[in-house]
Amino acid sequence: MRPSGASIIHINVTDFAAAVAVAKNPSLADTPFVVAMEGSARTVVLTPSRRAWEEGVRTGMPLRLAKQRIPSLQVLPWDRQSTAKADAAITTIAQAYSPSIQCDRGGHIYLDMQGTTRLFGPVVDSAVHIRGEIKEKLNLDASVAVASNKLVAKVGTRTTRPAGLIQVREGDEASFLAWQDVSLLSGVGVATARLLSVAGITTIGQIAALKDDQVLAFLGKRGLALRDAARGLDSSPLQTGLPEKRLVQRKIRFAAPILEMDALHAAVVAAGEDAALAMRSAGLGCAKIQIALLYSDGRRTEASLRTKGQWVYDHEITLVAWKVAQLAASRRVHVLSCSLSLAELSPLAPTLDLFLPDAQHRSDSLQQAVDRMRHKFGPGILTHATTIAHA
Amino acid sequence: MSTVLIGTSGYSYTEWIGPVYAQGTRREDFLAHYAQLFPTVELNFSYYRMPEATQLAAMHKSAPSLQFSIKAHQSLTHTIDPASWREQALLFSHAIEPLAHNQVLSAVLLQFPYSFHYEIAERKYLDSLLKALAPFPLAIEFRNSSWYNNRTLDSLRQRNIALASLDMPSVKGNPPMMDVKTSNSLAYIRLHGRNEETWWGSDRASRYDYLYSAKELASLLGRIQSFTTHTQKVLIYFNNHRRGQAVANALMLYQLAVGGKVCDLPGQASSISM
Repeated sequence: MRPSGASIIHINVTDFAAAVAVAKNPSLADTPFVVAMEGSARTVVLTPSRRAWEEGVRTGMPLRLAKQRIPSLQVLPWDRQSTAKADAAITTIAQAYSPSIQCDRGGHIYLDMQGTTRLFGPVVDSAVHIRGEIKEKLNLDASVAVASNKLVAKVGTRTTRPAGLIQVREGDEASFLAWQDVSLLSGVGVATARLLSVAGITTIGQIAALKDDQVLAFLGKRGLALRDAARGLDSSPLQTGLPEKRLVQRKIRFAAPILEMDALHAAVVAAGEDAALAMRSAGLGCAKIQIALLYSDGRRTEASLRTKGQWVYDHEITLVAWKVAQLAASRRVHVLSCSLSLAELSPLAPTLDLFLPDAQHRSDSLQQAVDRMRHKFGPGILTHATTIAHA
Repeated sequence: MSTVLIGTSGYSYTEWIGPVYAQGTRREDFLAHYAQLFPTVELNFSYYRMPEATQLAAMHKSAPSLQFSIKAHQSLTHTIDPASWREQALLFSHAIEPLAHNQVLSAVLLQFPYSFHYEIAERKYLDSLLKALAPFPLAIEFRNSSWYNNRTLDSLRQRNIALASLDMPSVKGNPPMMDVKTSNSLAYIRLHGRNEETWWGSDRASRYDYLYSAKELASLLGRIQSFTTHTQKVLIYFNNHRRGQAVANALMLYQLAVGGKVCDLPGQASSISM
């Protein structure tokens, strides 16, 4: 088969935590169950099993409601160790086919297969082999797509999930996307889908057909990016390296060496807000924040803090970053520069905007509003007062 | 565990005398000879000419062990007349009844042309047709890419109807390659060959003039294996019929599937449990 020019493979193990639970305990295959973290008053479903999904249980649904739908519903805790092992095993399989992979965890991985056809044959054959190996070695069913870019490949795996194979030829991206449901397009969450449906837009092709002025009037500036995505345009490269080894870094060099803690505080908050925005835009959260300070005498100090969970929001990151900075600032010497790193990155938990606990919902909504403003008018348009007072 | 049946699209080709059928084999004996090679066949004549019950009953009688898939008549897929299609569907249903009654009807293949788009009128028609043919095991092949979307897949899953998986040249105008299990009882795979040069703008016979290599078949086997989880029956038909290449490839695939080495000697491909 002639190479189609499409060299990106996306592997997607749907409802990963539930799929791993079934692989570990095959007797669960025909059992409706969910993976959830119980304990709070409004626990939500993290991942439903296929059987539970068929009964109408969805990610983000309150556990109470899921149990009403299926009285016999089993609730399993999130087995982080097993899912991490499965993720690592999938990565190992993928690495045998291409050195260029983006491992997003949670059963998602992209491979750039450019230049591998002489070794492995057509890209789609490699996709078939990888899916077969994942099934054989891990007993996990995967959706696998081959396309010319990450965006189309991802829609491909969402189209065929929970398991399947699709190859979209280069040049056919827009026509393939045209009839897919808008909800399959990255960036269209529940709220956007609802907004689009009000205008009678239910397919990706309808977004693609919107003119600039229509997009701007309806979705604002951000809508232009969404419209480009609907046309299958995506030039983003693979983010190689494991997500937990990636860093989002910001460095502030002071115009003049500083000694005042208030000025350091302002720098840390500004760097934290900027880095957090970039991190969230990549769909990631972090579990480690590190601060390094360079002093006027050439010496350097650093400190870090970790969480077992995930830091996502500005208020969390700036608060922790300042604590870390205070730990790092152990010397009474002028500071030349301050580096902030958000590390141990992992994909954001699914968007739960319909079902979030109230307090978290408020934080989420506020953060999304702030991010929208920054994307629209620039990162500096909204910032903490601290950063202005000491600018 | 699935039952996998391998065969060819059509069996009655005079050019198969020599490469497949012994010299001097009469046309009316083709099917009985074919049944000694394969456990299943896809009947294509039924697309051009409305089949008759007596005719199909006679075919079953001449090859009692053979499982049949049958392509729906063109009046149901290509030349649809809103005024008369129900009558045609009734005729077709009546004709295939002997195969269904004798439990040798594996599938009815509905192959829709490029001109059949994912539009409201077509969707309504398809829904009505599927209801009319609901008593039979059904598989659908779409040539227009607009049908390859998540809503179509969901609709087929709800109706337990197989989406035919296709292998064909990766050229402009062909639908995307898509393997998705939409039925628990049936998977349907059609292998049209990969002759890119002759796919468009040549005669029908040249289009299907292709011999899959062992390497290509090994890769196809990987695709086939993905259907064997929780699907009762997997049907595979080679349509690269020119010069008997479909038969050669079907036997090669069988050998690969049962773990034997690829050989040139014709043998018999029985059903496989995978």
